[in-house]
Amino acid sequence: MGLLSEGSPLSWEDTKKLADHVRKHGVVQFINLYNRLRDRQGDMLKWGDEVEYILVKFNDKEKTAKVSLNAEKYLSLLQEKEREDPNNVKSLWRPEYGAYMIEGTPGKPYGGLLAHFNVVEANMQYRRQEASKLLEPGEVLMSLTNFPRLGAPDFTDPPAVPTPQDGASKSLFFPDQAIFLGHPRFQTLTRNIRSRRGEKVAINLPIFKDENVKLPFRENLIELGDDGSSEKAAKDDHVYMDAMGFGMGCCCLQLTFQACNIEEARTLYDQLTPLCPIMLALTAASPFYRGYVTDVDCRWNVISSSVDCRTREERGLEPLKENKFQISKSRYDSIDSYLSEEGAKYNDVKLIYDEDIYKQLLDNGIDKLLAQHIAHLFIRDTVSLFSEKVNQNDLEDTDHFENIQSTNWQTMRFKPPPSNSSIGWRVEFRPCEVQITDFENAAIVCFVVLLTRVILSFKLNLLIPISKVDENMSRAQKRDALRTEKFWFRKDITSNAKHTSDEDEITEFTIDEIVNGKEDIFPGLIPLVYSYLASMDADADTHCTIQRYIKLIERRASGELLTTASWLRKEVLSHPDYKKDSKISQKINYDLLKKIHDLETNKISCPELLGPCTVSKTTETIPVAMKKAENCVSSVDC
Amino acid sequence: MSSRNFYSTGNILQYNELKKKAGLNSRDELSEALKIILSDFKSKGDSTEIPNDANINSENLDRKELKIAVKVLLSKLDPTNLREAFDRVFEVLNTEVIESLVVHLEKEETGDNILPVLQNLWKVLEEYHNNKRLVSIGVSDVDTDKFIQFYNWANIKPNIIQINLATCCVVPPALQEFTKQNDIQLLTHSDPDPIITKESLTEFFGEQTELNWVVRYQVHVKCRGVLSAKGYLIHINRSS
Repeated sequence: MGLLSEGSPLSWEDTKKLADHVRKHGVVQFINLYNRLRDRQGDMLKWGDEVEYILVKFNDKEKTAKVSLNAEKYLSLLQEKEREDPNNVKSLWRPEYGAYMIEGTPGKPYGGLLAHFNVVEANMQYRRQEASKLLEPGEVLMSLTNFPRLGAPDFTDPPAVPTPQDGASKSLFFPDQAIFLGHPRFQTLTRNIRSRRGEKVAINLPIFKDENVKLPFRENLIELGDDGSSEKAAKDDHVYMDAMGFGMGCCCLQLTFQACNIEEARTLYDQLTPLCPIMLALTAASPFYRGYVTDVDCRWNVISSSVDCRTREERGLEPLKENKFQISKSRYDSIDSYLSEEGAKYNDVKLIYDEDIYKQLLDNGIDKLLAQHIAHLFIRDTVSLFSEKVNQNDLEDTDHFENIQSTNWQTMRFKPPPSNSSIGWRVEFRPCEVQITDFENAAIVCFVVLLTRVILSFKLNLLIPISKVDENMSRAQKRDALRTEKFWFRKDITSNAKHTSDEDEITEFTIDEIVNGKEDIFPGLIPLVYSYLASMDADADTHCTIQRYIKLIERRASGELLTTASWLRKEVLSHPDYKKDSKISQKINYDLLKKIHDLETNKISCPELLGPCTVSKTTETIPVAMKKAENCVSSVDC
Repeated sequence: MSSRNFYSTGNILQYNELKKKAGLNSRDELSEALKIILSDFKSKGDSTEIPNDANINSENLDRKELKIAVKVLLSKLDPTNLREAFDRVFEVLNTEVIESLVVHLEKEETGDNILPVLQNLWKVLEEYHNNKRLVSIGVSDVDTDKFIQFYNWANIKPNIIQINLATCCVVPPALQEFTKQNDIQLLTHSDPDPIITKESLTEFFGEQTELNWVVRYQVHVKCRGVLSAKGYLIHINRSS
């Protein structure tokens, strides 16, 4: 999330009235922007990661660990440097949904040299240290996808009480004070999504049925203040959650990279799409919700349900009267269509969009694929509008477009250049779960960026029908999916393979086979990365670092190492206090988070999770000789 | 048996057979590429023109956006031979300038006394550099002490030293320090030495074939981390 525009949010009633206004102007703004920037060429590779962190407060006497609601205080300190000298900071800090969350990104994007892979981890370390040194005693910054007891009794510091009768969330479990209050956006979104939906959001995750879980697993919600609506929404044998905070309060690891022009951006958007579920399974890191062990390993569906603003009509539960469309997915979900010519033939999911908007886009010179993508994004209403932003100059402003674009939270995001900037067409890769250490997070982002280079250099074709990507997304989130599931993948990824039939073209592989290869059948992503690296001029330190990152990915993919989710499970299930009831007590939570912290600070080693080598040759700056060898300062044409 | 003594693989990124065998080392990659072109020659007849244009720029990028990196793996260590390799690669790549050139001397040929041979050959590199045809020039697999000695001797200083990948995580500290001090690119490679074994030479080109040199070129799109072409040139001697 970028810098948030300040301002006063409109009430839901006013926002709702302006939905068509935002849509109408948003589409016009996109058309103007597209016509201004469609031919932009020659942008270099620039890229950056986003790591989200939670603040945890330990109480060593009482043996508790809670989320610390201090993000606002630290954020204003962290942003001081940027306010004073925005062009010379090593890190940028942004608020996130939770009052216990912050997001850090590098101060400047990394560049297109291989040597840049060697500065990523150093920058992540810098960010972690920069934030950590501000904290109070007992407070710790952690890159953990979900706080295990988020929404369980007494999970915040200072304590906060849920308010089921009023406020933004009306949650039985998640107090509004746990929402970041330093900017009105988050509460407004919470309220508006709930209002638009017509009821609280409902998230049901299958519980891990350990020996002592009493079946059917059902909780007494009335005693928490339920008016009956939660009772209705909660499913048996599921961990039920009822607030946006359960999803948007999770941390992600995302990366954005600049393409050399719009065509390359489309290609990468499409080619990375089949990798989303694969990377999700590989980075799985969130098996615990609301103090329970669940049967899923990933956050994805949780966030998806947590911001599902569709009405009952839109969800197909009631006939359409007030609303225009039945919509099959939440606004946070996997993408529904490819954007490149190559991808077009794999668009096998029926796209919902407004015909008039689609036609308007076509009439203004936008091709079918992009037009249907934009029209599909614009089936959503705005869920957050600020009074200062209602009236805009559509020739220059893009806020209405961004309003809809930035609240379509999908696996991939296709990002046009911002107006009046030197930034080009970009693609954002959003499925990954954040890992405990900087080493792991650096490994993952470098691996993904390397894959983009491999795809472009070898002109690979990873496309599979988009419906199969959706199938993979649901498989990826299952418990231990990495070792037990198979995933649809393309058999022949060399580009000129002919499109015959699905059966000939795709098959099911394990993650190990996809990543490490299957003899005589599939080359494997890592061997392709090695081929690429062997053809590039890598400096010795960078090469060493990348090798160690790839080794980690290779071992995780093969199952030799545990995924973060599997490791977290194992820790809880083997805790002496654990009663085989799938519950994470304060004490278990405390011990687990302590261990995570010790791991992150290198006090203990954990070869089953990280392997034998967790140290890279990362450094803050790239060697002068490497910089000179490929002078990237002047703009080169694409 | 053919009497040809020069072979060019063309841009091997176009061979899907090779992509499917990802992760090969350069010896195996070259072997596979040779198999492909030799069977092609066989089917089309040996009079097939050697491609002079390796089509290194299929996307029609401006030449200034590309960086060409060449490694000459020299088996016959005489300057004439090196010149021949240069002339061939300039011709095949249809370029006036090569941005980065590294020369490797086959170990069996140099023995322990690499410096005099290297110095003799280096004069050729200096000459091409002075004529603005080579920009960065460097050497491969020269021990730290000898490299420093060589650096101090050279008129035009090498600004690349390649070391074998197998040892990349344990770079000699003295080399690390020296390259840092002098802005020398300390790069890795994983090229087996020799790049073609005697057995393969016989298999591909018949008995009594000797290798003169192999050139590998890699064309990168600057600042984008994209490889746009890669290929090998091979020059042999048939003593029959």
